[in-house]
Amino acid sequence: MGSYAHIFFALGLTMMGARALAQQEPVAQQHAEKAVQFAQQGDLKNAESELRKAVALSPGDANLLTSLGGILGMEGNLQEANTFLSKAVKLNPQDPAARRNLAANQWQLGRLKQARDNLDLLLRSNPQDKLATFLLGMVSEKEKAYSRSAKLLESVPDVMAQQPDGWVALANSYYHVSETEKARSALQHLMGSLPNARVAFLGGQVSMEAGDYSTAETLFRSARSGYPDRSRLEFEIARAEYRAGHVTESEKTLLESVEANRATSDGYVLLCRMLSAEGSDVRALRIAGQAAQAYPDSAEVLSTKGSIELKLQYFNDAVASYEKAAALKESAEAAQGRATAQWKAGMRDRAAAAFEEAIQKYPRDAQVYQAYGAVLLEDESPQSKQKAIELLKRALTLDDSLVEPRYELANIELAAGNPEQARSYLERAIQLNRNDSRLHFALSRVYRRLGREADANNETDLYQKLKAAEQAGARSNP
Amino acid sequence: MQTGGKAGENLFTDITVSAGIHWKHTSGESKDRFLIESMGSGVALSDFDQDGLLDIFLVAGGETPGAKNAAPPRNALYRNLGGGRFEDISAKAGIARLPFYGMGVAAADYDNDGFPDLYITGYPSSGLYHNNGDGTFTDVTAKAGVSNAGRWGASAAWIDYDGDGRLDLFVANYAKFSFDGPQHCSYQVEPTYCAQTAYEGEPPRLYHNNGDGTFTDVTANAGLAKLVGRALGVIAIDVDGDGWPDLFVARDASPNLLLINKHNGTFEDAAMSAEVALNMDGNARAGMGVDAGDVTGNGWPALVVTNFNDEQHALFVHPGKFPFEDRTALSGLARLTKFFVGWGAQFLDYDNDGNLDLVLVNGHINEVIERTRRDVSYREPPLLLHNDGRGNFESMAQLAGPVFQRGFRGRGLAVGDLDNDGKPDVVFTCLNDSPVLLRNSVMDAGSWIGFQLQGTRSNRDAIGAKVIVSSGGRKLVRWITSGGSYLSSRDKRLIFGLGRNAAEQVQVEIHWPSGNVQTVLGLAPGRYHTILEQR
Repeated sequence: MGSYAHIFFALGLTMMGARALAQQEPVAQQHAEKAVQFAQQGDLKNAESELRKAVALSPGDANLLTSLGGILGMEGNLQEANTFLSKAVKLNPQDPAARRNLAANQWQLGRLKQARDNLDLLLRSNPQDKLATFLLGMVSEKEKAYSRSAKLLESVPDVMAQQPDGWVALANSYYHVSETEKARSALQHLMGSLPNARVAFLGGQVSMEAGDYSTAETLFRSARSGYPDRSRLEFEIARAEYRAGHVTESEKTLLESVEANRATSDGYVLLCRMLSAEGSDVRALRIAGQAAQAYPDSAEVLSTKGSIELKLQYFNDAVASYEKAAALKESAEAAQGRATAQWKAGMRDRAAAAFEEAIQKYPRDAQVYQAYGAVLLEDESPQSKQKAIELLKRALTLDDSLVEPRYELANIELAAGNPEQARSYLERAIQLNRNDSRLHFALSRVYRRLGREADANNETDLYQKLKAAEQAGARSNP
Repeated sequence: MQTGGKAGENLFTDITVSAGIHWKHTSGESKDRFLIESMGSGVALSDFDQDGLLDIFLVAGGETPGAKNAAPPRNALYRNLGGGRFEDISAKAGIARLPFYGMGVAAADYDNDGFPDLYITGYPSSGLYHNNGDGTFTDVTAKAGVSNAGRWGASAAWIDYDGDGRLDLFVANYAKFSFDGPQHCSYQVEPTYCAQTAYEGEPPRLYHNNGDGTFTDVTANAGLAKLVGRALGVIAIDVDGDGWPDLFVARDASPNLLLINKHNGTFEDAAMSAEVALNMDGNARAGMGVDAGDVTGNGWPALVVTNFNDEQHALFVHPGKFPFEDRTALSGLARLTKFFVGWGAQFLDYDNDGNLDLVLVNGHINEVIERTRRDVSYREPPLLLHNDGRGNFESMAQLAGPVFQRGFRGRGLAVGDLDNDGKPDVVFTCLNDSPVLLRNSVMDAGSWIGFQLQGTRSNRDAIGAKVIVSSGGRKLVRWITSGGSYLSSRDKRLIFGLGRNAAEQVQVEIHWPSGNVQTVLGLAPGRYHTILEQR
């Protein structure tokens, strides 16, 4: 069933219960009655079969066409549903149920304008049509007309009372119009009155997208009791925990997934990156190795493994990992990771060629230029240094938010005896990232050369505080 | 640029075997991979019997729980017989065995009786061995109170920090360590030595020489107790030109220390403001060995520090005031040392052109390094680097001799004139292997003049003296230092290379540790001069 198929189900049953069955053709009517029974038992397959027979006998019967369209919609066969519902509306344009079903089907098919046109028609002839109002609210949410969506959905509390997905859409709309508390209330209401693992998961996704990670964490956790895809769910929980700053909990969640053999590839990647960021690279590598065995065809897993191997200076292994990643899926990240690993492993000619190729393939990817520039600086030759400078400046042109090129360029200027230029690079870099200890250290050296001893000492103090925090983080995670 | 050597000649000749050196270091290498197994040991060059010939003392190393030998490790004291021959007299001298795992050695005459004594560092204690002057040594550790108990001592330096004419003792302590419960690290499934950051550092120790055969631990009073870190190398030298000896301490993944003598029994660490604590990224490197010398001819001591591969061995040039200038890249050292793990290092003027060159030894700690990358080896060649006089270095590998083209697990290193020909020779130790004796074979070395200083008000060894030689329009500045290199102790005599156009007579100005300044004129080059401090 599709995500919103149950809306159809509710509408469909309502429709079928309220609808007069086919009158003209008695055999068709028998099939129709059987279809109703099947549908009420939840046997949509047989309901469909009976209705097809009925429609075959009475193809001009708009009610039968509407019913069949409804059943097909509930089964998720939206395209075919659309065909029958469109015919029904053509035959009986004044039938609000048929048009309403068609609109619901179009909404699910993503044909939002068509859905909206049909719903507008319905509401013009009957502004009190609550189902149409509800559907229009859902359509508006999909169209990102969040303010309108919220108004519409708020106005039909009776319908919303039975529609958990409606509450999710309402919460999403509230988030988008910066009514975070209302969004949270909507989700709390949902979980209080219509608790449902699937919907909790959806609610969690909506909260994540809105950056409300704590709410997402709560919602995802509440889905644990019934959400069928446990692996995916645990990953989302861990991701929400991580984004909410609960790193220890996030690691725990992911480690439990790993131990239970249900970690997703994304979960492995997140776990490895967290561990590596804390300085627990040996542990990260062990887990990356497990990930590579579990997901040998995941380019992301292999790239992550490669990055950890690079950090541990297992350069030959890093080259192998990145080469596998690139073979599976080409990306700028894999390309520059591979080239960097080749350089560090001593394969400099190959690395240079790989970087040049990456620049050709990804000419607007600033990270490629940045990585190439950084390794060239290790070369010590004047030509390499000149080229490195050009590459680093190009990286900044492509992405002005980068810190690393500024840092490298500052060091070059400082070594060349140009502290003012170095200062300019570093002060801007610090604006972009105040928590990088290296930047403060470098700036202290610049200030010292400019005769600004007090500023130099301040920067040294900042450097020492940040460095101590970095080292404490690494120590607590061997 | 003059290259300091001619095609076809070997600048240094390996005379280890012909010299009769058969001793081997014992590392206690075991499956447990205790870090101490990878650290090696030191060598001291000193004239222990005062017969005018430099002798060689080599520290044993030791056993580990998983690696016991039938014949326990022993030190070697090779007496220089002259003519390039040596004889091991360690057993006769009573200095063959240690009650601890031996690491470093600092030789100096701590009691000013004319015979150099030995302080040997190690784990879990260290020892002071008094030279009795009759070819024997006595363990006076307990009486002296310098056992450094419970600590892993690495390099040590003798320093008269309070100017009372007696040598005090600074011990660089490395890390908290125990043979119980080894740390386990591996690459894939192969056991490796863990990174040094797996071990917490220790503060150094400073012992004040009371002048009566005893010492007092003044670490806390001197302001040193809070300086916790993994110290490996140390050199005592006056870095700020105030006539009082300071200390530079190379530390392993801890910021280096530049301990400025405050003249009141205390030291203050100025490494951060002097910009010698860290690399340019604000990271501490794996500082192992250290030396100091005037490499640019500006009269101030530059510092060289050996580091791990990719970190480059650092050169900090002293411009006359702080901060130092990091000339690692500009000097060529970055390019020349990038792929090596460096240990012992010393400045020497191997060709006597008046410029201080550099010799250093390398060697990785983990064999698996060759499986993780292609550009770093486990066994690495030593380096002989020629200085053009402005602090720019070039490798002399092609001319230096076959030893400089082979890989070793090099560790300690000391420079000294073993044959008294005015050309400095080199001895370096190798992990779990024989040392290497290199005789300086430079054919057309410049003229030279050498000094053996003897303090009277100053400590007898004149450690801390600054010596300025004027010749042919040049002024050459050298210091008698203690510590330096890695775990090792060099010949305390000074050799000044005078180049090819040396004057017939040389003037020397000595700034004694006591504060005396003594000028001696009319000295003939081509020989050693013993100069007694005027009272």
